[in-house]
Order: sequence, then structure tokens, then C-alpha cells
Amino acid sequence: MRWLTRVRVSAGVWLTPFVVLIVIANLGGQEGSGEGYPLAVATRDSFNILMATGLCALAGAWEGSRLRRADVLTWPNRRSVPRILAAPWLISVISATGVAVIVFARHGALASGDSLVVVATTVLSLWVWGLAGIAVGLWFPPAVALPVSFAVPVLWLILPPASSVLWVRHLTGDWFDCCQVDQTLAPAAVTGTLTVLAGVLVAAVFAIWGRSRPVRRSVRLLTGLGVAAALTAGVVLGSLQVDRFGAYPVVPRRVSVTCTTGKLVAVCVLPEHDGQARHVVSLADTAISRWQGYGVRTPSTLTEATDVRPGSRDLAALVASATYDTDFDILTQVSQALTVAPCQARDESPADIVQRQERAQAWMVRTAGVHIDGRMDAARFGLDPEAWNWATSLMAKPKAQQGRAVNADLDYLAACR
Amino acid sequence: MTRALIWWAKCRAVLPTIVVTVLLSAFLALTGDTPVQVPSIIGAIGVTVPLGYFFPLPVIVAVGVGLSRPDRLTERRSARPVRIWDLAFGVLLVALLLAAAAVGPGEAPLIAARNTAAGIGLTLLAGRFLPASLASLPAVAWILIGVLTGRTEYGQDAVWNWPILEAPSAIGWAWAAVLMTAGAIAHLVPR
Repeated sequence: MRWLTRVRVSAGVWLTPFVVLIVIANLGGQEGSGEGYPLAVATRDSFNILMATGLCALAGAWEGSRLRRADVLTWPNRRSVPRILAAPWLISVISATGVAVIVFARHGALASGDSLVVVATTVLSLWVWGLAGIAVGLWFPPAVALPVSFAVPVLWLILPPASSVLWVRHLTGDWFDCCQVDQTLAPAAVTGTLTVLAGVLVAAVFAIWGRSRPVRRSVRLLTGLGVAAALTAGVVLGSLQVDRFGAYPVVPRRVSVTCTTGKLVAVCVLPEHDGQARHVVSLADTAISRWQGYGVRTPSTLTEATDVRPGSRDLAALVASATYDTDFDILTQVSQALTVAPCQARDESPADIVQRQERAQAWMVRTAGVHIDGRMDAARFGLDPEAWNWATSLMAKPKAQQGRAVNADLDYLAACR
Repeated sequence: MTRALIWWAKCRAVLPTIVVTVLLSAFLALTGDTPVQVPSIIGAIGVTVPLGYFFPLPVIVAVGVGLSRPDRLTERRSARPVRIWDLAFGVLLVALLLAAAAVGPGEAPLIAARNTAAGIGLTLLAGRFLPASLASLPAVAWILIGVLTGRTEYGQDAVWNWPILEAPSAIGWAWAAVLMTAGAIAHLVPR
């Protein structure tokens, strides 16, 4: 068949507008980090593009039905089965693959290793489901193969995320909730998805192999058993890799931070916050110089690195997933960084810790000497009014006494391990 | 007549389709109301539908398979009212799913029955204009794309998106009635 004819009669080409529609309809959606983190952008785009797996499988089933009708695979043939299937498979997936690559490239998802993994998994999903569609088309009449090939990949993307068993969703390759800038995708989530895809791929190859033999009961039986075994093995082995995750298959991101040194403090930020580092340093310098004036001991470094050892008074961890858009945001994050207790890393927040933390933070934001737009009250900073009142009464006392009281709170917080 | 009915039933895979529908109906009564949160892919806001929302799909595909099997030329010249039997069969399938509403709680059986009626109507309509093997595809696609589209940015249901409408929605039932009627007319009118 000439290529022009192949393109003209191919379902894959005719379905291209639908692929484009599915993808572009949601391109403006918010990504998980809200800060242009390439991995989060990639997972957002992947979420949209994966819906095209249904269309790839549908196009593949159409091509498979055509080969089935012509009985091409069982007739004596000069070409091998993979060579016969190469062109129908390629034409079933090429438009979705092209759209996927263009979308990923436009959004900068090809720029980092982490996001490339998502890109590769998404494209592999399109390819594998396209081949699975061909296998279904080879075995079943089109009235069954076409709707089933379209519906199964789509339902596979819809139903597992709706399951009350949270880790099941990580098998689909849809990691829409990933990731904040201080997180990256857990390798096991990727390998789990790839294992399931490998199961579908092996099942499709089994089915195609069975169809290329003369139809005998033993071949049908062997094919059926092989397909069932491959699918089961893929899901089971994939599940074993992801079953320890909750709703979020993420691990801390290990990436070098860039430090900007001010007069009193150095601020080390992730690449996504490079543009804001200078302003954060300036504001932190202002606040820290005021706090030091009261005798409060302050850290020499504020960092977004995820491997900070908790409890150090010389190094404070900024919350990397926070935003630094306004002076209010920066003041809040800096004051929080100085008042975190190490024991809170274990999701433990004893009442006395929270009370001292809020008191110290209330005092810090009010004595920082940073002008922020809008009202200054406990509610805006998310603090208890009791802590706000405590800071009010403390601020009426001599400077040295204020510094001692706040240092006592900070020491108490640092001792909670 | 009886023999013709038996041959028609074999051709349309009536028995397997009824068995599948009865099983789905029982399943619908037991677990159909389990909520499924579907994120919005194409639209603005995701939607929560009962698990039973997806139960019409196998029934519609089975009806499409039945419609694709007969020799059209033979049936066109048949003296038997096979097309009326087709319609009655569709109504029977809807009734079987509705029966779950009498047994099971919640709205899922009603939504499943309504969407099955609309889906079968659309399948009959598509069977008139598309190749028979593609007849069920528009209904399957509409149901899946409808749920993936979700609600509008104001949290409302789009009028075209009948599959996700609540069970009491008059618009949803109107869609089902219109599609079923259009499908019946398209199927009954001689080609």
C-alpha cells in the first residue's frame, strides 16, 4: 500500500483532530507546583495526553480489524509479522505522539531528567495501547474491538484514581498531583507503571502471535492463557512496587540549591526561586538585623534544601513549596523557618510546642521592621489571638527581656526532637 | 414465526446480552451507588458519578454487536418485524436495569437505565448512517467524554452533557426520549 493511501485511509490520521482537541482543551490548566516546575508541568500535560491512549487503541483496533478481515497474518507472506504490523501501528500512534512531543517541548518538559521520565512513560503508554488495540482488532469483530479498545484505556485512567485504595492510581501513569518544587516522582511509581505497560505489551504480543498461527484450539487456549498471565503479572508486579505509597507517590527532591549571601544571612533556593532570591535576602537581612538588635540568636543560612538536619539553630529550612510573591509571604516564611521544632517533621505538634511557636512567630513578624501592605493581625498570619496578645504584652517590656523570652521559646522548640 | 424469532435472537445474541444485563442489574442494585470521582480533562470542574454510570457501556456495546451481525440485505426483505423486535429488545434491556431501581437504593439504577436508553437510541441512529461495526461507538464515546468533560466552570451541567445529569433531571430524560425516538424512527424506516 502506498504511504499516501495509507495516510488517507488511516483511522490514526482521521482521529488526529480529536487528539488535538483533547490536549489543547485543557492546556491552560494549573500545574501542581504553581511555580513552573518542569516535572509538575510534565505531569499536568501527561494527564491530558494520556486520554489519547483511547484514541490510539481505537485507531489500532481499526487497523487490526482491517488485517483480520484480509486475513493477512495467516496467509503465506514474504514479510515477517512485525514488518506487516509496523506501518499500521506507526500510523495509529504517530499523530498522538507528535502532539505529545510538541506539547511537552513547548512547556519545557524536555528540559530536565525528572520530567523526561514522565514524557517517556506517557509516549510509551500511547505506543503500547496502540499495539494492544491492533491485537484486539485482530481477534474480535470490529463491533466489539472498536468500542472496547476505546473504552478500556479510558476506564483504566478513570477508575483506579477513584478507588479507595490510594496506591492503585499510581499504576496508570497519571501523576496529576505531582509535585511541589521540593518533591520529585518516586522511582517506584514510574517502574510500577512501566511494569503494567510491559504486561499489556507482552499480552498484545502474545495475542498477535496467536493470531498469526493457524487457528487451532490449542493455539487459542495458549494465547488466552498467555494474555491473562501477562496482564495479571503486570498488574501484580506493578502493585508490589507502589503499594507502600499513599495518595502522593513522591520523594524529597535532591537538587543543588543556589545561595545568595546578604549582610547577615545567606539564602539558598531551588532553581525555581532563583529570580526571587535577591529580594528574599534583602528582606531577611532587614528582619534579622532587627531581631539581633533584641539579642535573638538567628541562623546564618536559610535554605530550601531538603536534606537539612533538623534542630540546628544556625541553619533554618524554608518551606520550598511556599510562594514568595509578596513581602507578606516572605516575612511569614522566614519567621516560620526560625520557629520550626524538629519534632514537627514527624507530624507531631504537641500543644505547648504550637503555643510557643505561634508566640515567637507573632513577636517576630511584628518586630521585623518590614512594611507589608494590608492589616497586621493574628488572623492574617494564621496565628492564635492568644499568641498575638502575648507578643503585644512582651513588646511593652525592655528589649533585652524581649530577646531573652523569645530565645527561651526558640531553644525550647529546638529541643523538641 | 417462533422459528424466525429464535433465529433473530441468535443473530442478535439476545441471550448473552440479557445475561450480561441481568448481572449488571444485580451488581447495580448492590454497589452501583459507590461514588466515583472523575477529574475534568476537557472541561472545568470534575464530577462525581455513581459506579453504575459505567454499567450501560457493556449493554450498548452488546446491542451494537447484535446490530452488526445480520445480513442487511436479507433483513431488509424479511417479512418478519425484526426491526420492531430490535426496539422491543432495547426497551427490555432498559427495563431490566430499571428493575434494579426497585430493589437497590439511590439514583444509580435510574441514571444507568436512562443512559442505556439514550445510548441504545443513539446506537440505532448511528447504525442507520455509519457502518454497522461502528454503531455503538458514538454512544460509548459520548458517555465517556461526557464524564471526562465534567461540569462547567460555574458548577452547572452543560445541556448537551446528558450522561452526567442527575437522575431527576428532566433534560436528561428528555434526551433519552428524543434519542430513543430518533433511533427507533431511523431503524424502522425502510432503507
